[in-house]
Amino acid sequence: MLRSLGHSMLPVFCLLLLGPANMSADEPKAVATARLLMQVIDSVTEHHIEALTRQQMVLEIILHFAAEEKKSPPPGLSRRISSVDPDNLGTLLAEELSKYIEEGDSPTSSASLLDEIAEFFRFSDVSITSLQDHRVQEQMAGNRYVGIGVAVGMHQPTKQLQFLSIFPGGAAAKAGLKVNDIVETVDGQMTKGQSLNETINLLRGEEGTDVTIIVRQPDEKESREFTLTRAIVPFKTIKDPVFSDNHRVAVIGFERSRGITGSSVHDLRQIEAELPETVETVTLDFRRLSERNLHHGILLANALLDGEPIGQIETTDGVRTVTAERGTLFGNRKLVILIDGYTQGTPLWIAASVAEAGHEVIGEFASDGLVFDAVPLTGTDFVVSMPTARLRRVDGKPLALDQGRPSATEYLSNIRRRRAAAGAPRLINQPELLSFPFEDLGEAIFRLYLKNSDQPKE
Amino acid sequence: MRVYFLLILMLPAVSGSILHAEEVRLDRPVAVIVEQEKNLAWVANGGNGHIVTVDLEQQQIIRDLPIGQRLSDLVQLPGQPNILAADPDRRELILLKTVKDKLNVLRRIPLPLEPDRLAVSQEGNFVAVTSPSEPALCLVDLKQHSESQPVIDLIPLSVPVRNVMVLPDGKSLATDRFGGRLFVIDPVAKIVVTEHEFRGHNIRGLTLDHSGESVLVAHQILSRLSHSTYEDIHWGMLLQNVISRIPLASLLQEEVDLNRARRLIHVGNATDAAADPFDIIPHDSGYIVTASGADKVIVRVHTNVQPQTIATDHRPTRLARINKRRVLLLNEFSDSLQILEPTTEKASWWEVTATIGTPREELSAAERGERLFYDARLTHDRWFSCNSCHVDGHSPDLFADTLGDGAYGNPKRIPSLLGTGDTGPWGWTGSLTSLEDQIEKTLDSTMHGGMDDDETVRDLAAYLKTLPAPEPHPVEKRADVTRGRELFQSLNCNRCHRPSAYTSPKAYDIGLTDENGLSQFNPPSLRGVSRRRSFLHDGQAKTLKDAIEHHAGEADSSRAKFEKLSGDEQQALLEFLQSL
Repeated sequence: MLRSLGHSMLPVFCLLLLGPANMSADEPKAVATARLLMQVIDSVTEHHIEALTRQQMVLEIILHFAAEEKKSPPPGLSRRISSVDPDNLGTLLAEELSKYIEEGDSPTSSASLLDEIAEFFRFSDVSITSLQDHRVQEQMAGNRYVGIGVAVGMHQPTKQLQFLSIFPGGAAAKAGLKVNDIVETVDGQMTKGQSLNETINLLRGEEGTDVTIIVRQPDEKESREFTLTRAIVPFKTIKDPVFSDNHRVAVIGFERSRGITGSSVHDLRQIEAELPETVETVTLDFRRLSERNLHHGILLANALLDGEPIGQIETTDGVRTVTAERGTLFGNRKLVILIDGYTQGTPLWIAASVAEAGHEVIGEFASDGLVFDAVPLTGTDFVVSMPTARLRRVDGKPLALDQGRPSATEYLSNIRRRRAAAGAPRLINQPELLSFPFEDLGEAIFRLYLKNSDQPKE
Repeated sequence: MRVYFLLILMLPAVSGSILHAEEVRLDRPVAVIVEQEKNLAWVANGGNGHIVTVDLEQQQIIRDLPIGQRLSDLVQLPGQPNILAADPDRRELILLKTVKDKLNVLRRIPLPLEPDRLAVSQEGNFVAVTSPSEPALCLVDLKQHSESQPVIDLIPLSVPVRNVMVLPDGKSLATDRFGGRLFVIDPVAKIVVTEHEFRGHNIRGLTLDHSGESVLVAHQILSRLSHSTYEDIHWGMLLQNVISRIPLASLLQEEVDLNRARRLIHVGNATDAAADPFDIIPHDSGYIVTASGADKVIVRVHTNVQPQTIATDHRPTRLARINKRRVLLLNEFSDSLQILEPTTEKASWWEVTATIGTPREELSAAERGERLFYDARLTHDRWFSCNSCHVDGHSPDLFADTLGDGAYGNPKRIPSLLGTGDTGPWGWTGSLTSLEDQIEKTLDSTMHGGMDDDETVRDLAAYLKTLPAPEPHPVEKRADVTRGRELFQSLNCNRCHRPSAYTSPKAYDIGLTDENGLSQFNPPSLRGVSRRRSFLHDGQAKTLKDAIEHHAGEADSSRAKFEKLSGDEQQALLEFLQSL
């Protein structure tokens, strides 16, 4: 979900040596990289609810580059970063990066640079995606994916896009396309030689527009031509309810691959209309449900609660409270919600407010209430997604009552652990090994004796 | 018997003439009565005030009877061959006697207010009359046979009402013209028995359900937590078209929470939405309801059966039963009647089997604009129309989160569009300097129907400019109003709320902030301010006095002066504001 451009603020740190975001041919790659990194850092500082300080982020980035290049970080780096004038952080970063980035390394377009940069920010749940990919993600989250209703992959022998599955109710299904159909042309263009993404982009388009494709089954010689109209392909997001033998209890669960979407309330309304009169209790299964879209969470909470407060939302701008409107989906029926240690984000928040309103919640409030949002990266075709809000209970307390806030040391060690898992091999020392739970010991010991050439398994 | 003959001699016989169908027009049909034995329908024209007789067997218009100047409703008097018509322009009820396919005027009953909808008691001894601007239910005693003043009672209500029906126990149920209030009135004791409010607005239809124990209310629900995005509209999050089933017992008890007591039935669905549910009649164990904004009728014969959607002409409003299987429906904007019935093959599959009447061809820009205002084609999947939120051009004083203020997350009170033609600039921040710009922005960012072309914008603007400013409350103390006007000037209120539209072009910070930190607001016009149910962008002020006392920032000195006024002076200022 994009914040309106009027709301996202331009980076405060406009560094003198860094001009407009678009690449100029003469700009050294290290400088360009540093500039984009500072832009992302500024965005994160502005919107991320658990942002590290700029200095911390710059330090982490330099350490990451050093580790990637298998070089030692320069001595006194931390001290230098702490004492430099904040306005010159970008310059310092550019200088340091020039030790690790060579000019001829890779194509110098912003897109590929940002792909690389995305790696560095995974430590704080920041990801950078293209505007186009983000729009598709939004459509999926809103269960209003526009397309012809297919899942695709690359057919290796012919290096062309292949339909791996055909979604029921989509245009492709209705026209009679078959699983494993290989796409030979899209609107006249041959797909041979194109990357998967290139062909996908040709297939994508606005709702109501047409696309003509020629396909062929892998073991057949005959090609078939179809003209399809792109439409919303809604997915089934809610499982069919299960009932107790006496039909007094109905249990409703979410298709885990979909989670809570923009259509959840609508889909639940359909189910509610069909519930037998005998149902007195409705159970919602939120176990293993991790959901980070705030708006969809608010819509669902609003439907489940009857004028009661939903909770607090903390952003970098402050805290606000949201209250449900009158009227509930399930009428006067009793509501029960199941949660577990993997319930995260809005479902956990909803469970807390439902419990506060007097219904029953079974399970532990163990995880976090972070929700994500996407902020456009000015001057680029990319957006930065990150946790932008923390959901709190009605009384302001955190969702997981038993967990204290992790200390900075724990937080940073988590970052290093994750960075290690992401690709840079890292050695583990013995004292640390002791803190690993039994089931993780195998991995830990593997790392204890890690050689430089080994990569840990994902 | 003597009285009867006297009346016959005195009556101007309104026989009308037998005309060919092409020569007679339906002109905004607004009400219909079906005489089942005669296979006749009497249709009231909201346009020219005629009543048109329709032969349902021949499916033709056979008579055109000039009855009133404009008509708003028709009811059959039980057990008599008499019909009652309401004429809002002449402010009268007309009692008519049906003679074959003609009507004779028996009596005209002048009213103290403009009538709208009618409901006659089971014995036919009184009729309940609603009115567009007067917050009251009017009860007219029909037992009078003499020429003396008819007995008329006005039961004051907290808001104007639109629909009224008579309940099985003889009490009247009247519903909010704009918002979600329901009143039960005892016509004998002439008091309000209960007043309820539920979450809902734009109530257009009322009927008893098949069991006789619940009332079905056709209306809409708006969510202030939803955004006016394509996605939220698509999934029915922003605006829901619904029927509330409310047990009679709940309506008759004071302390019942109707939000809990009612059962919501959704009308329409994603990809097949049914904007602006209007009239509803019970059928089998289900119902038939018109979706007046989406040009559809929904038939659901049983709650276990999937509803069926049937396309109709333009703006289907009222329904009337012809017989057990056939139903007549009125299309207000295409000037036509249609007959709806199940086909013989599958008893549960319904079709339009006849259309009587044709739409006018020559329409002015304002007339085209009016049709667009009530047409859900302007929105994605026909979920709602302009009328859904700006009910009849006014406002239910609810809150919607649109991009009118530049962002989401900060819902604002829906403004009335009455008199909007000269209350520019538009939008809560005053950023739209022409009405056409505001309309285009709404079509694009709120309605998402893909119809934001120049002609649509022009026609809508032409229509909106014809909407007069809302009628103020009747002025009781003229001296107070004059004193109030003086105070309005001496307190400097007129700096931002400048006559004659009581607004001005710029935006000011009066110490109010919305959820997104927006604090500069364009002063809303104060015309018709007495017709609002809450004040300020977020409705936090519930009375006019409250609203004044919330003024700070650039308006702080005016507020301070107001607080220093004596009680009488404050009252005078409020009287003046109510008179606008």
